[in-house]
Amino acid sequence: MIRFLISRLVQFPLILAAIYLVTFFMAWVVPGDPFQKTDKNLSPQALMQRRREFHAENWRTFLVYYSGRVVRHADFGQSMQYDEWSVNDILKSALPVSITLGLFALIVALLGGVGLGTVAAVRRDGLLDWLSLSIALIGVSLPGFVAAAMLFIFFTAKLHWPPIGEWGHLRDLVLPGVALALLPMAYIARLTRVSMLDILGNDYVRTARAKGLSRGVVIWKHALRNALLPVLSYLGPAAAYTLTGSFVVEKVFNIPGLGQHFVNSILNRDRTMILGTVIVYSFFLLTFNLLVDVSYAFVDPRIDVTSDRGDA
Amino acid sequence: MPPVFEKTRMENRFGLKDFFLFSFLILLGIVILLTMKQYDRQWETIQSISTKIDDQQRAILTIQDALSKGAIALPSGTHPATTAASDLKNDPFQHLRDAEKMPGYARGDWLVYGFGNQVAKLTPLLSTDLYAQRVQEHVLDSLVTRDKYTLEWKPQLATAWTISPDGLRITFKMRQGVKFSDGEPLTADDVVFTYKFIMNEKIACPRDRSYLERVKDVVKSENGDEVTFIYGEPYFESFLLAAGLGIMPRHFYGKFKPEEFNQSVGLLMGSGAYRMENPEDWKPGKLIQLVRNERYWGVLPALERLVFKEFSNEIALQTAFSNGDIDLMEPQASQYYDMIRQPPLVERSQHFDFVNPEEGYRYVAWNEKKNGKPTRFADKRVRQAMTMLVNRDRLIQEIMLGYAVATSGPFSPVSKQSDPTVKALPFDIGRAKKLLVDAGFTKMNDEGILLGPDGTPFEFKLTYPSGVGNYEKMIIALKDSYAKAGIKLDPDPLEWASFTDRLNNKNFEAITLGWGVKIESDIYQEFHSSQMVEGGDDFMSYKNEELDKAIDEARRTVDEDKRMVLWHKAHQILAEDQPYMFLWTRKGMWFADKRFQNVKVTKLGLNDYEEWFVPKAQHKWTKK
Repeated sequence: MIRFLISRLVQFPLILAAIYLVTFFMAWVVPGDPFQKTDKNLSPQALMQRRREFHAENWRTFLVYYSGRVVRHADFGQSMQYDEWSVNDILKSALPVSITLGLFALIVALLGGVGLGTVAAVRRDGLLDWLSLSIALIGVSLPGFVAAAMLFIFFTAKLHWPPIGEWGHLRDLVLPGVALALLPMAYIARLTRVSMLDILGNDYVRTARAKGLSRGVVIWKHALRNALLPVLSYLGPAAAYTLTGSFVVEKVFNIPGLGQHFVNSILNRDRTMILGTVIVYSFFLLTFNLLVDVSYAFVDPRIDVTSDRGDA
Repeated sequence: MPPVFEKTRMENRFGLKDFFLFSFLILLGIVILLTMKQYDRQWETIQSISTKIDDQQRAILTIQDALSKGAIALPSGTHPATTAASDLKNDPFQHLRDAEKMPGYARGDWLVYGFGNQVAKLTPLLSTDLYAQRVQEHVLDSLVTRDKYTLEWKPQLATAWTISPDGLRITFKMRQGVKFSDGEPLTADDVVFTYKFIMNEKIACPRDRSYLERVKDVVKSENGDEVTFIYGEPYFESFLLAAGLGIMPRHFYGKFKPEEFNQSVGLLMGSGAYRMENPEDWKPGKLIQLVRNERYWGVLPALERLVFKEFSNEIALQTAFSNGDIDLMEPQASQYYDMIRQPPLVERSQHFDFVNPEEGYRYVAWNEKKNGKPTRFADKRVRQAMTMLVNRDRLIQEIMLGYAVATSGPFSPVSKQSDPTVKALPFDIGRAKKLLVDAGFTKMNDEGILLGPDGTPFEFKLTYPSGVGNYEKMIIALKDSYAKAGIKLDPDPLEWASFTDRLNNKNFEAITLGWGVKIESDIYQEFHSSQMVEGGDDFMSYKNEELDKAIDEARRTVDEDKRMVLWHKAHQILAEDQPYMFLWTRKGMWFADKRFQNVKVTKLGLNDYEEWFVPKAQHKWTKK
């Protein structure tokens, strides 16, 4: 286990470096000049001066300067689009917002999904199963932005709740969190149901019941724990979705998160900002995947995460 | 297996146990929601307590100040510093005093303004966006200010000024007794400091510095009563350069090293009617709040606080206004159109639309030279015809929903620069066709497209920024207009980065965009033929020597009346030459909550919030 952890941790910076390089070249070759950002023209001297300020005379100077800064000080430099902001400033103010929202949505998705899935499996073909199936179907087929817009229209515009324009209250999390959680929740519910049904038909579950254990204990302690494995493996992508997929939801609910900067940076060819956001997002993705792999070992000790198969 | 099946069937019933489970889950949900609500309430209570503490602190400051002067605290509004200077004609607070006499006038309540974007920096000089400027103008005072009602200059930190006959020296007499919001006095030293600070190469404000480069020096008189701005050459904006400078406190900004200042985001302090609660601790994403500056040297405004909430999308902004979460917003034309058609909203609000001399204009520029060769747009008659083929009034109705006015040149129709005798070219297809025939476009090909003198079909690409505003709609309307005369317009949408690339390389046939304007705009960069070079904005390679002369001369003329004659001449030439098809200037549009009284439209948009008030019974934010 420790060897596995160490090897993954060693890979970590290498993968990030690879992502950095690929992103850098993609951002460099797309047409468009981040320095000609205003409608008023810059003189050639001023333009050169701007390039020099950003060490962007050519791709080598840029890459050497910024990769060095990132490695030594974890500093992504100044935003090319917003003179006034450094990439780190933006990350510092927007990232906590996105993470709070993402984690909240993930928790909602996990609790809601596992709950619905378990109930549906235990009450197969019953009313609750049907209900859970309907919710899952809506969740899967309704894109996040439609759900967000619908929640916004119904709650904020019609019922005037919650107030908008201020970020900081817990209530501000509820609607965007639910909008964001809907899709992963639906997946988790279906995954839990299928694997739960599978497990409930196993001999050991019947044995446990025959031993005289109550149904609740059997479901909670024996079945659910094993049924959660596929859900766990989905948690990585789900976290990725809730942490990064929040752009539209952030826009709809006027939340000052990172999503908008991520998209705008690409439109503006803001190279330093693109690199900053991509690396930060990648970092979270990798971390989540690692956590998921490690958690396998705790849920089902039989799985050998150190083997190639378990590493998948 | 059979027993399992049986069991499953049995368990399918929705039993009592399930009912309890279900109820428990619902109850849990409700408890969680209530807990969140409770937490939010506590947070709000803490906020309101801190606001109250702050208000009390301010009250104490006022009393301390008054006591230090050996006087009993006077009710605000009769501040000794201003009553002395109330020569009515030159009283900068005349409109505020008038408001104080209005029925129902009361102090208190806040104004919550919904910004259409996020503010990155509030530190003066470093911030570049419009919204930061809207915050700063309430905190920083300038020497002289423009009266919004008359557009005349009115004294602010300076009580009087003189301009030397050659226009190279402007001397301001400093107002006595003015204090910054922390109680330190404002003197001529602060004016000199502000200039020197901007001119310091280490301060990251190249824009302001290049603007101020025409000022050779700023010196104070021996007794410190006066400051003089000295210029190297006469320049039409020299008075504005000095008069409009936001005076920064030396004791506050001077304590930061240039690097510290450059990296700051929220260093904002001045002598204005409002101040930041803490002039050093604002960060992006934090709610921007200004509180009334109880040490203000002038007449205190009625509103206690100005709160600026940021919105990154229009719908959220509009919903917030409809829900009463904000008091003031500047809607887009389509929003405004929609909002004034909602009776309940109109009932509880007031709305304004007006032509504002500071709104920019939309144009189509014709490239007269491409790859070193003149294009068909190099012929003035073709450019005039292109304008006359377009029914601009209809465009304004369809695209701007009527919230714009047609323009005939680069100046706002309500600015003094605009020559009122110049009429925009009319919509006249017959005349346009005749002009095209004169220019050699006499035949048509099989597809009905006009053929030029060289036999090539009149087909051109109109480049525009995609996904921004209403350009798409406009292009379709233009395509339709030109098709009627046998001219084929190919829409060429480009996303912003590629668009500016094209513009800078002059690689386009026709391009559309908008320019911002000021009360008095310098059109040198757009239309002077010297600006054809790389980095200039004459990207259409337009040249008219007479216009160059008029622009050069106007820029050198300090006397306003003489200068306006020259700007009028420039306007006439541009209207005749049509280097651009000048389309329209957007109207300013505002929605404000109805409880605000004395909200007026001036020659420069809405009057200052300092003049607004809310009758006591209608106070909203300070009721709690």
